[in-house]
Amino acid sequence: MNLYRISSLIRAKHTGSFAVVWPSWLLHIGVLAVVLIGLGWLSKSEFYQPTSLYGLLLLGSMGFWARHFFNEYRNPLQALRWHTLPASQAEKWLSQWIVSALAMPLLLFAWFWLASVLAALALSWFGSRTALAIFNPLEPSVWASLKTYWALHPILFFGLVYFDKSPVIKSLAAMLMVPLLWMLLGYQILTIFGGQWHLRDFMHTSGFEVLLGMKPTGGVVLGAQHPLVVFAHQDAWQRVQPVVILLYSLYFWGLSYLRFKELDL
Amino acid sequence: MITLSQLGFGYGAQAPLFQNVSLTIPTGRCVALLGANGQGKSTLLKLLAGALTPKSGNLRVLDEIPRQRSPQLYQQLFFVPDQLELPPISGQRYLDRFGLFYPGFDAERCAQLLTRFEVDPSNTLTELSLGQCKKFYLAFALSSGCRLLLLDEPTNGLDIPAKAVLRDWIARHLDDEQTVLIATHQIKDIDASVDALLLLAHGGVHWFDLWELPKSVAQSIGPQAPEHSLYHESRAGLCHALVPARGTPPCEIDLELLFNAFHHNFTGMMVELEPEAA
Repeated sequence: MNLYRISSLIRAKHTGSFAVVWPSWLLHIGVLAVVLIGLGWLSKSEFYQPTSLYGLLLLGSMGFWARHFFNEYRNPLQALRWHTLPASQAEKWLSQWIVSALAMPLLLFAWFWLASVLAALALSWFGSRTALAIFNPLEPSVWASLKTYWALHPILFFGLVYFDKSPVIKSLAAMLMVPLLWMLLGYQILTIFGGQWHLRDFMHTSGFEVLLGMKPTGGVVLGAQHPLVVFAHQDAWQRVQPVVILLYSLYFWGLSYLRFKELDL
Repeated sequence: MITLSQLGFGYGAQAPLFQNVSLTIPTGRCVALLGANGQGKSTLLKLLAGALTPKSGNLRVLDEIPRQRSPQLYQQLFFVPDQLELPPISGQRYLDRFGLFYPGFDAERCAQLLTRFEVDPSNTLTELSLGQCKKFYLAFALSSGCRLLLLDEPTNGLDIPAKAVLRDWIARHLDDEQTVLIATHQIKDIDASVDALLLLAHGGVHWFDLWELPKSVAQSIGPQAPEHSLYHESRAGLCHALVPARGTPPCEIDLELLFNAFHHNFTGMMVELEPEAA
């Protein structure tokens, strides 16, 4: 593994110099700032904090940037040039991973911060009664959005390598399969253990709407929660969640690497 | 340099393109890869470049297994495809960004070649014509310092002066450690440069050393085809024929005629050239 080659691959793929890309970046930031000004202006409160908008944009941006990753290996007129570039398969894969998993959120955060500063200044300049909160990437809600982004990244990343045509749409469809399979798994567990447990309704738990749950006599609660199945005994799910997500991420990232190694022209 | 051992390959459920191909290509040669459409010229180059996985057999290129796609191999192997798409950046930026992957890349030589090809590296690559794009990429390939150059139809889209530059570079700069494999239908564009032939026919790959070939076959030109001609064709009222050499003084052989001879009389040619194999 050669870090210099990885950085060279990133520079080779993202060939546009800052002098070339800054107008489009400025346009994106400008549009975002205008949206924030509009929302701030329409807001009835004195202090407007659009953190949910940042989360939405962060996740929504995945659909836009995704098509740029591994596209050179899907394009038959470019694939040979990239396959035969002197770098290992791991380096080529990692260069795509670093940009999509780490650099893209950081870039978006920089855009959000700049746009929020511009929007806050503009609202103040126009004498708006609403003050706009400047984007703070350390806020818990931003961190939660980032965690969702990273949770979706592995399966999207795998789909981008696996599918030759319309990889983004197919990957998004594949992503929908995750909660569906999760629910199916829950249903199967409920079916198998239903005889031992009695059905019980949960209406509100931890801010989620719970569709139904089973409470065994031993006190363990298995909830088929919308959209996920959770194991809620003594915060067991909270404890295993990082491990499960890590294993799921490693599984799909690993699969994407293996698939990338297998790619032929 | 290149060793194929019992190599087999085919696309999906289609009939195999290659079966049990065994071959060794030595270093320091300029080899023309000839074959009719669909015989697998580009496929063979892609196999050598590790872009395709052989179905059976072994393949070694520069002491590496190409399908492992190691950086060490690709630092010494450059593939120029028939068609390519370059990024929307200037030629100079491309050289800066991609040249650093090749330890032997010679920027000065590249600049000289681009001058001879009459390509301005300050132009954006996506705005170049097909021929200029090809010239740019050929200049990059020829300056990469790689020991093995795989060129797929390199003269397609090139103007006449550029073809001359390519021939001249091969004649003047190819050293004993370098090998060039050129897949082409335009054999006349490069016939002065090549010293060996790889012929793809009937699911096999056949190696012919052009230094040795005149010992087996000879070319004759006359009003009529000789009695024992292996193949003949009429050109401008004269009959050009390939005949068994049988002790006649070695003479230069027209490679197009040779290819046509193989194409139309494969068995007869093989009997004459490789009687044991035939």
